[in-house]
Amino acid sequence: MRISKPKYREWKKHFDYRRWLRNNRKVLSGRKDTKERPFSFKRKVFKLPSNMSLINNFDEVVKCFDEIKYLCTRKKFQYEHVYLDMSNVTNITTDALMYLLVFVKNLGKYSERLKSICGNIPTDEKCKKIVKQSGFLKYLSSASATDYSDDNLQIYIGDAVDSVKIMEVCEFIHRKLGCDRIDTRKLYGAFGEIIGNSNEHAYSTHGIWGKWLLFSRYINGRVRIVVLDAGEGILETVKRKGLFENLDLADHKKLLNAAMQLGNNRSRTGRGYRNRGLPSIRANAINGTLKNFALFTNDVKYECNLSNGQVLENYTALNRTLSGTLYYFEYYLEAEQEL
Amino acid sequence: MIINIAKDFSVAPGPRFIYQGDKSGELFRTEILEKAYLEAKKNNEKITVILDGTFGYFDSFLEESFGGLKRDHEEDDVLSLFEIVSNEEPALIDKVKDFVANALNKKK
Repeated sequence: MRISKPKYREWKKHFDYRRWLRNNRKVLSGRKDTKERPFSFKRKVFKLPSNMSLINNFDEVVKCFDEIKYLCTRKKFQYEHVYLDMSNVTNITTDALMYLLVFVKNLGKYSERLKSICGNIPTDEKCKKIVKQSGFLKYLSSASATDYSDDNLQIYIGDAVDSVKIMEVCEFIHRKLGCDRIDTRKLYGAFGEIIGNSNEHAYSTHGIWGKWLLFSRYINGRVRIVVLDAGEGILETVKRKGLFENLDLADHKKLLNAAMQLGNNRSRTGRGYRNRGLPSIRANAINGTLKNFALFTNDVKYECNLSNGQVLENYTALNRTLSGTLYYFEYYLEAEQEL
Repeated sequence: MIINIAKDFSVAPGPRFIYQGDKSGELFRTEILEKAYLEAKKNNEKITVILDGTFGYFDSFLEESFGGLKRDHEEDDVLSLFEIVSNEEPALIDKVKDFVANALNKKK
């Protein structure tokens, strides 16, 4: 079968580019000037922030991803090949890796011209270890192998409320902290509400790829758990459903505060016994089941900490908007932390 | 009649509805609880539901199971036929009672 000339040219261009990629790793890793490339592809190298953490460096990380998305979708630029350079990263957390994973998987949807998204892993040994052990590379085609560690439950992508996965996380906690099933019963319930909420808010965003991501890590006597969904976010959902018509919809801090409170009878189904997920999550953060709890959704952050029996709740407006919702919390045994 | 959720249904009970995931409250209600309820009502006997032995419960699972049963049998005093046992997490007994009491709440 003959193929048309334009199609052949397109194919040849891509073939040449792949060959050039194979032979020019030094150029890609920034050791040579990238201008030396032999032909003019619309290719762009993006340097990711040195502190890749949504929890500690939210604005810079989200700004970086927003810029990449903007440059890939604007007609003026419309890059065909994107290279995400993580060589300068010196601090990385798994929440940012999960966001990056969702971003990479969805980037192709934003731009029709985009043909490839490549990247490297950090040169910093500590960061490299985190990337390899997190399971991030399992979901991408990579020459670097995934490492396994007994201190991690690798990134898991779910598309239903998976009670068996929640049970696995509880078993991981039992193994690492030396507690038993009865200790984590409340956590199981609270965790289920978070996954249920993520599953509900993330509809159709990923298509067949999944709805939410989960990662657990044991560190210094604590198990840290991160859940991310890349839906439209709680505030956008609340606005779309018209749940709080009497509130100022522009005041996102108040809107999230209202969504987290019980007793508003705001169920869109007209049933007062539904839509209690967020108030239940907040109640579990207040009673200490979800420790050091933080929730990022759209452009608001909610934090709840317990300090000397005092509940400290805080709503913070963010400069950037997260596409989706991120939950972060910890679990540890009180007695062990006091020691 | 005794229903032990951990043995008769699952050690990891799931979400509210069947479409949301496995081992849901809706499945438990339709497959186990409702049948037991109708039989107990017919024979005028009590049902003991043991909540112990599982990894825990999502609130929505319990609400859909017991609150859902109340919504299906609005005219009945559903709770009078049940004895709820929860030694591992006693607060669940009050939760179940609360869910049944508020099962018919409509949006104001």
